[in-house]
Amino acid sequence: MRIDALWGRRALLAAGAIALLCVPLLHLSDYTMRIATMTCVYVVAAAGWTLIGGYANQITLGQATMFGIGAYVSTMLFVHFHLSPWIGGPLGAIAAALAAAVIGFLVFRLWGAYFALVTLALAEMVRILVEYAQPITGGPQGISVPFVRNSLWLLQFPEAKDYYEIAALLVILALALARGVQYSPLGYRLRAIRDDEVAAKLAGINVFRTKMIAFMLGAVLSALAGTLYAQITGFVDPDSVLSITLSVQLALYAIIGGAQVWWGPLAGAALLVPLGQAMTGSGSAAGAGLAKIVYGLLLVAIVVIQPLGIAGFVKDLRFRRRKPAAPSQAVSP
Amino acid sequence: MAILQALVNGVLVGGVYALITVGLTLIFGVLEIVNFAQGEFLMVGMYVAYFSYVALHLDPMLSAVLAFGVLFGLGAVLERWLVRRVLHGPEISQIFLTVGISIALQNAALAFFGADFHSVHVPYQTASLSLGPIPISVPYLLAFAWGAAINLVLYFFLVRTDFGRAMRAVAVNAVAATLSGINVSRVRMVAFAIGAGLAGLAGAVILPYAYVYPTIGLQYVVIMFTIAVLGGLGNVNGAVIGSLIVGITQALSALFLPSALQNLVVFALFVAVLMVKPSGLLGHSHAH
Repeated sequence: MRIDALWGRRALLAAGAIALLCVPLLHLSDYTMRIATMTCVYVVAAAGWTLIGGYANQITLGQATMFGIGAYVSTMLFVHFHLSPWIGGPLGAIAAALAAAVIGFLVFRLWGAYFALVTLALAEMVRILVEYAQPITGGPQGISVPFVRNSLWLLQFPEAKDYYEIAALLVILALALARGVQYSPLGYRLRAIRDDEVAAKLAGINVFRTKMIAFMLGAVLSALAGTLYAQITGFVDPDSVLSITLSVQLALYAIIGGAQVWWGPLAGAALLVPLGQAMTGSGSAAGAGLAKIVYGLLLVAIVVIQPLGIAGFVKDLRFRRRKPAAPSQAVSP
Repeated sequence: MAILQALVNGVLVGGVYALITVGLTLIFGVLEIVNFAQGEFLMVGMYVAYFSYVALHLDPMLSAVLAFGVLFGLGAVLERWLVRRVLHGPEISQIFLTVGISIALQNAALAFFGADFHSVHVPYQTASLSLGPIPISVPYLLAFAWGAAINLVLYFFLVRTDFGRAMRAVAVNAVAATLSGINVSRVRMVAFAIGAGLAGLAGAVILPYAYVYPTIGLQYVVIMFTIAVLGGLGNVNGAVIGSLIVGITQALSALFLPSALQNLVVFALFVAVLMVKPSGLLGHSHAH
């Protein structure tokens, strides 16, 4: 029975992955496919936050740094050395992992609000440095990815929708990693740290190393999403890839979806990115403002009512469905 | 001479920072939450002063009182209906509740007031006094004066009045305060309201030399956190010292670094201090 259930679940996941890859067969409009593609990018970036912020409760407000490093490294290597993003992307991911190692070394001793505040300050420092290094990075005005030709090798396509399959593949990889981590020994160690760091340490868990692995893995995911973002939009600037606003947004997708489960970023981003894109689509400041008011209010509502996000509501539902069985068992021996 | 000028500027700017930060510190001290919406409270205060100027030709130095009142009310409502619910909740709720409020406020400003930059015109805008050979900008001096006055009033409020003493009691030990008959919920609500009100007042006071736009809060928020943490989160006197350190550091680093890198020095100082003393310069060693 249990083995059947396990295979059933695996079959369901595989079906979900295939369905994700088959979305273009629906012949949706270019606009819808653009939104779907951008949603994929943010799912991957938010999954990076989940690994450290959700699984281990190390609430970083600087995940945009990793996204930005991925976007900038691949773009600068392409602009200055004509290196394909297929090489620049992984190099950006390595750079982000190294940055995560340095930041982790500095902040993992701090707890709670101090941790959040220092990650915020470090992210601002990275932003200031990138803005200052104008000759290489383009400074505050940003840097364009010059369009050379329609080419898979250069990861350049004329339309955002053409990136969909690659973005969907990346989502599958990222969520497979996030799910793998959740049910692995690493995942259990992270959960122990989330529940009680002192107890975890006393139980013999190397807290520093465990956090570091999760932080670096998360950095790799967010950086890869950053590279893809740069290729799709063809333009990178500090405001869009290194801002506090982006850091908050990535955490927000994960939290609204459910920060403690692998599918949280998927649920959160799939709900909020289309909402945001649809409302900003009108082009006015008012539309953009209204979409984000909804983000803010949803975040407020979630953390007050159900801090486990959509995943928390799902858990409650399952629990409630099982609940009526319990008394009847007790009554009929 | 340049160094002396930088010192004077640093002290002036530091005094304004003290005004901006003291509310954040008060809120952390009494409620033990970091208010990530403090920058947006500042922004709302700036808009209150701006619209008072447009509609009533009120000088921001006077509408500061109005801004304090508006934000005091907003703060009281937010505490009563939202903040109170997460005080005993998980860390993620404590951090992201005020983040959510800040997103909502920022974008409400964007939706209703637009993304344009606004400013006011007051007669003393470009005026300066000279202290010997050193020129002192009048708008900064006035903002500094407000900062000094508010910090004095707050000091006497916390030290001399019963309600202030109750606030400090709650900050030190909420359970013991309850046992001594202090209405802890009410103290927390008033502390949050005063903290928000002070951010609003600060916003009005800086308007003569700053532009207001929906995301102006983000310009100040990291500086605010830096100062509050340097002084020890929750330590009101520490916030004043932290403000002067940051103001002077910025002014001095402007002498030998490009202005784009000014804040880099401040943030580096911030990170360095926390590495050495994880509870801030004047912080108590907070047990986990």
